[in-house]
Amino acid sequence: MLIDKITSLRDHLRMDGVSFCFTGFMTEELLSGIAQSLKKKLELEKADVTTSRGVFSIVIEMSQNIIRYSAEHETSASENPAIDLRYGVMAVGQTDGNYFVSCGNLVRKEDAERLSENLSHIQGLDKKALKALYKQTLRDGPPKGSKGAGVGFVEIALRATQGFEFEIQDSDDANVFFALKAII
Amino acid sequence: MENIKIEGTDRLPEIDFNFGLGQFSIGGYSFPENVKVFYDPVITQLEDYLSSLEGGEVIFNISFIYFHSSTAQIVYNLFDALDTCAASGNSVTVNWYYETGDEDMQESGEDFGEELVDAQFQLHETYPA
Repeated sequence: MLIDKITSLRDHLRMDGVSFCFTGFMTEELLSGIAQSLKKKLELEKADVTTSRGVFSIVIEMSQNIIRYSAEHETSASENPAIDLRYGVMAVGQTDGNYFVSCGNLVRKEDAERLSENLSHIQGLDKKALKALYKQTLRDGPPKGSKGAGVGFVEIALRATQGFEFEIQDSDDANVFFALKAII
Repeated sequence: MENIKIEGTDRLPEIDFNFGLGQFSIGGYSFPENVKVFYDPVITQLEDYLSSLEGGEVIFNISFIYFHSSTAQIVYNLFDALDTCAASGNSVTVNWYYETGDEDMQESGEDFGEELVDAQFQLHETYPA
C-alpha cells in the first residue's frame, strides 16, 4: 500500500526527531533552498545565534561534501557546462534537546583510509588544536585533491559543540559507505 | 580602475570596492558553489591595486554574517594581500564587524586579525536594527 509505505517512512523520520531530510542527487540549487528553509525553522525555534549558525554551517559543509566528493554520481560531459550529479543523504533534526545533522554517501575504497584517519585525528583535537589546524591548512593552501580549502571537517568539528561520530562500512567492490553525524 | 559593486543575495556577499577612495567592503552571506569563479575576478583586480599602491591609504570593511570553509581560504589570502600592502609603506586598516552575540564570527575575526602584522585591525560589535 502506498499510504503504508509513505507513512512508515514519515513516522520513522519523525520518531528520530528529523525536521529536514533529503536523499538523492544533491545540487547547489537544493542546498540554497534547504539553507533558506532551515534558517526559517531555526528562527521559529528561537535557537540562539551560536546554535543556529552552527547547524546552518554544518548543513552547508556536509552538502558541499556530497556535491563534491560522493562516489555515487551520474555524469554527462556532452552538456555544456558538464552535468555531474552526486548522490547522498542528509538529515537535520533534534533529539534530547540537541540539534543533529547527519549525512552519508559512497566513498571510493582507496580514499576510505585517509578519510578515516583524518576524521579520527580531528576527533581527538580540542578547540584550540582545531583552530590551529584550521589556520595551518589555510596557510599551506588547499591540500591535493581538495576542491575547497580542505578545512570542511575541521569547520564541522568546531561547530559541533557536542562532538561528532562517523562510521565507514564496505558497500561494494569499489566503494564504502561513509556516515557522519554532528551534534550541536 | 573601475569600481566594483555587487548586490548581495542569500548566498553571495555584497561587494563594494571603491578604488578611487581606497575604501572597500564585503559582507553578508558567502557560500558560492565555486569560490574561484565568484571571487577570482574581483580579488585579482584588488590584488593588482594593492600591489601597485604607493603611500596610499586603504580601509577594508568586513561584515560577514556567514561564510563557508571554502570562502575562508579567500579571506585568508585577502588578509595576506592587505598585510603585504601595509608592509610596503601604505596605511591599511581592516575593520571586522560581527553581530552582538555571534561568538563564532567574533572569534573568527580575532583569528584572522592575528595574521596581520603591519596592517591595523579593529573588531566592531554591531547591534541588529
